[in-house]
Amino acid sequence: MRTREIILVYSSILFAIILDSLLSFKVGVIFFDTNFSYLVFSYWVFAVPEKIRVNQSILIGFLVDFLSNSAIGFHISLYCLFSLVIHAYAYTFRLFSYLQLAIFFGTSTAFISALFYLFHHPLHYSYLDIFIYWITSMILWFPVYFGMRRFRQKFFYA
Amino acid sequence: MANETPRFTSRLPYVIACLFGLTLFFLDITYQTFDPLDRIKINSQNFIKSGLSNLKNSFVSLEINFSDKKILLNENKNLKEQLSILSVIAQQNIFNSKLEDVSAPHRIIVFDTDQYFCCSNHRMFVEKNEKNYQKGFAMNSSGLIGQIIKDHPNSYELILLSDVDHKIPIYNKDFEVYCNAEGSGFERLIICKVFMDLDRESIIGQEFYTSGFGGVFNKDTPVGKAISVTQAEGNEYEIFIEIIANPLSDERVFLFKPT
Repeated sequence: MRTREIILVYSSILFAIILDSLLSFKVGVIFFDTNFSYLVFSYWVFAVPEKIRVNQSILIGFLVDFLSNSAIGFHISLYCLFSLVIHAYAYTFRLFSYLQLAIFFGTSTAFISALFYLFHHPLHYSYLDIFIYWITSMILWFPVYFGMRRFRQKFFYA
Repeated sequence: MANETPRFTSRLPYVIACLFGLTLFFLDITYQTFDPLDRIKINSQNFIKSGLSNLKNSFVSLEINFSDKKILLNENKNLKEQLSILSVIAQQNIFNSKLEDVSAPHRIIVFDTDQYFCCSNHRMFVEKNEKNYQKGFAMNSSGLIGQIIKDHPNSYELILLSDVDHKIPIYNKDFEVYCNAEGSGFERLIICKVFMDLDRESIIGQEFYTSGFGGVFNKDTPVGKAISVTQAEGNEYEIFIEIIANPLSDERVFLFKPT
């Protein structure tokens, strides 16, 4: 990867981490949370699989671990796992509709969050929260996908 | 026969990377191996937030200097501060502590409210002033909120009463209930486990106070009120106590050395 590409990928991940910390709130007993950092990461792996390989997955996972409140290694392992899945089906994903992509990426985001709560905060593990999380992640995939695609087309190949 | 979908890389590096990540995760969860890294993160985060807050305050004061509301705003600020101090002094009188222990309030630098609402780690970082504390407890105008757990280079880390790792010795005089109440991980809620027969109906609404054991909290500081009781097994009861103080109510906290 060129320096310019590295800067673009990492700055988008950093921006996503900031968004995650800003866009979470509690209404009644339900806690709304987002995982933009994973959505943006998975977009990059999906869009430019030849650029985001195992080394970048480890580094981005470490960055997310370091800047979020998770134990070191949690995001590294999960980002590498999903990076492998996305790489393995990179061409198959090209045939998917937007809705199918949203279901896959929304489900994987909800899976990461479920594991996060299970390992870090088991007292707060709630099926209702995870379900809402799954729905919101699927919805959020659309703005992330179209926003990041525009960003990539404008700056990544410039 | 259809060809297999081509892949960009082989699977082996990913499997190794996953195992590497899991090893790091296991080491961090079990042995807290990366605690020094966490401290670096906390210190740099506090430093940046404190700097940004100071910068913001100086811009605000610069803006105020040019406006007619300067006197009113300053007066409002002073009154708020005095009210907060008076409230703490009133609480001090309740538990007969020495007034000279009241130092200038400490500004909250970082309080992750996401963590407070969603998760079990309820921590707060306050700026340091001229007084040094090895250990002590923290109050705001609404009451007792927690204790000092770590001394960082530019801040004190407070653990709130509701943090899942926190324990506070409390008692109720009428029912002669003594226990180490544990943080529940939920906002403003602690759990007191007792092994004695209780009248479940009459204990609800009872106030609990610090018992003074442990050497951190002064005796007879109001902590909270019992809101529900459940029988765990045998004669083990869990009393759920709602904490009186709200850590979100003030921007500043008062730190005290135990007397």
